[in-house]
Amino acid sequence: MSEVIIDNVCMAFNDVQAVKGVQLTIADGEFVVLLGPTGAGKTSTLRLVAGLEMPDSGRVLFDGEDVTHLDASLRDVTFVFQQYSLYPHYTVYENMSFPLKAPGRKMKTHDIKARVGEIAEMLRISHKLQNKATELSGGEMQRVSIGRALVRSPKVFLMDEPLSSLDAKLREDLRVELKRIQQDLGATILYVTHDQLEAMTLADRIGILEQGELVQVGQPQDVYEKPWNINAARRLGSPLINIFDSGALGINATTEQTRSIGLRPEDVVINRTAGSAATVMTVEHLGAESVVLLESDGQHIHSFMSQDMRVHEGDQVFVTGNLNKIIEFDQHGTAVANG
Amino acid sequence: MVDKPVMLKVGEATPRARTMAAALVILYALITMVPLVWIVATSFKSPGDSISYPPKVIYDPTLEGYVNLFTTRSRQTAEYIDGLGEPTSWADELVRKRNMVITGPSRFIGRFTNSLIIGFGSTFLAVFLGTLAAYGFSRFKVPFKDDLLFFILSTRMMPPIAVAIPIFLMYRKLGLSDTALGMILLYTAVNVSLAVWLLKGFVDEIPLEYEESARVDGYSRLQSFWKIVLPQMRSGIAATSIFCLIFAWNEYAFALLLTSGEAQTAPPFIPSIIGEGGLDWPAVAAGTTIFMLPIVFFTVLLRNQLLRGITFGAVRK
Ligand SMILES: Nc1ncnc2c1ncn2[C@@H]1O[C@H](COP(=O)(O)OP(=O)(O)OP(=O)(O)O)[C@@H](O)[C@H]1O
Ligand SMILES: [Mg+2]
Repeated sequence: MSEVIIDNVCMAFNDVQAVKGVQLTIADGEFVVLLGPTGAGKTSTLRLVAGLEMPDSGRVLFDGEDVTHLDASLRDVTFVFQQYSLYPHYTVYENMSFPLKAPGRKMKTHDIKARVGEIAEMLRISHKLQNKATELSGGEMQRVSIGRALVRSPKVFLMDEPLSSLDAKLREDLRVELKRIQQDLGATILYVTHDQLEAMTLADRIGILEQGELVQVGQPQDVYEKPWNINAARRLGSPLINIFDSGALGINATTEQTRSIGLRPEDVVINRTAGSAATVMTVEHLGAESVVLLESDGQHIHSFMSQDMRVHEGDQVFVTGNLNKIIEFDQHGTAVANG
Repeated sequence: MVDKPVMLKVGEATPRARTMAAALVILYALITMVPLVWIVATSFKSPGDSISYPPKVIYDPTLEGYVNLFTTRSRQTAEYIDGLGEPTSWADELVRKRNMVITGPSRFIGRFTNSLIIGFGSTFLAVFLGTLAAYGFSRFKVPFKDDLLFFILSTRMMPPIAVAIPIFLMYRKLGLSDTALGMILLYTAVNVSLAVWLLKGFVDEIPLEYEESARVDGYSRLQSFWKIVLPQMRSGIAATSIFCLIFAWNEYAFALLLTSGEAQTAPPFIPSIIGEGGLDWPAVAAGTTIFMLPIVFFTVLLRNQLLRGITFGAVRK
């Protein structure tokens, strides 16, 4: 495994600036997750590291070695694509052994078989090894493409939403499995997802991409608690962070620049006695927890229902905010350092 | 009686529409088959039957046409033929009945072989070049790509015979007249535009991710082309090959103009088979029948690929 440095890389497709000066160091054995809205340049960033795109400026380094102009086939990385990548004319086994049979790797057939068998077992696709790649469900296809990446131990794993079409149970199993493998192998992974739970649980560090710019990089908890701007704040957390005007919920801005205030749902407390008056709009029961949508002073606020305080649609209640947890944003949406 | 309701999948035709479509296809097939069946029937007729009026549908089949196609014969007196002793083969016997003796093989086999060499040679070249060009146009940034593609297509817009005279003169100067190489080059040049356009469509349909994935997996561009792209182009290549082969196989005008001896192909040769007192229709029909066989054979052999190929993916799953 290797340390990967993306050094001030820019890349444009004709007139679309897909990646703008991204600067990111992924330490050897680190798991970095890229989050961002669609079109933010996540896939493009992975493709730059893989060598499938050439940057217009900037460099890519593996273990200090400049690989910016090295062909993809010589970089020794693996890539799990967002879609279509199983070779349709091959069986599952042939697909998974394909990278091991690459010229230059010279692995023995016996070893290839053993390795593919082991990974297939882990991904629970052993019984499908002889199927044609086209004769699989979407989730099975995705497992095969993950398997095809895991058979090797490359310098860096690049994964573009690898778990997106799996059911919840399998996704959770694979998430745990992936984390375990990563720790066992000490694998360096750059991973793209839209799923904030995946991001929070898998990542050593999270990078937030926005219109080609890497706006924030940090440990999941830091990004969660101290987002760099409103968009970054909205990337993590479910339901979304509450954003409201200064003065609502009795919370006032503490700085000149503050234009809006963010407060995560778990920091909004519902009670019967004190605080700002609010009406319960809806209650969503999600199993372990229930999400409550409230209206107070014409602002919509999300919160969680507590064990000892059951509320129902139409109830008149009071809410208070945890003042230690508020995040203030200026007119550009950038968080104001409240120091 | 009330019709049972029928469950239909999206895009599926109703039973009545299917029956009508089938009837139309069968009717069309019958109409196109009539001349072919007539040719095959004529090839088994005697010269007399072949020109009788009204045309004969029921007749005594004979292989005379085929014998005449493959041999040259000369007319002899009855006494001379009697003096020859026993006939050496059934063909000999058939010919002697008409007061003739076989004097040697005809040039048909040679001409047919020329057709095979030129047809397959030019098809292979056109498809080979077409595949590379199509891949290049589909995958690389080529300056003036659209103009080049249009230029390639435009070579197909003019009737080839319009350039017959210049090509005739050019070939004479270059010593390519009446050579198999000359004909292969000519047919390749005509077919390559079709091949590039058809095959480009097929390459365009193959998602780029396959090759990219192969390259990341450690295969060079050429290796991933060979291992990943080419196998997926199979039906496209089959369909394109058949189209090119049919053109080269049937081409008449240039063959007539540029070949007369050594390199002559079957199309100009067949109508030149003269029997006594004019064209030997059964022999011409026999030549035509044999001439059709390779195309029929390859079309049947590749029918599945072809069906997928010419519907441009519509049948693909
Ligand atoms: N091949 C291409 N040609 C032109 N523009 C492209 C190409 N690929 C991507 N883009 C553009 O570059 C920008 C970044 O695209 P990218 O695929 O990196 O987004 P993404 O973050 O992966 O989005 P998603 O979450 O939808 O996968 C987008 O504006 C996209 O339209
Ligand atoms: Mg993407």
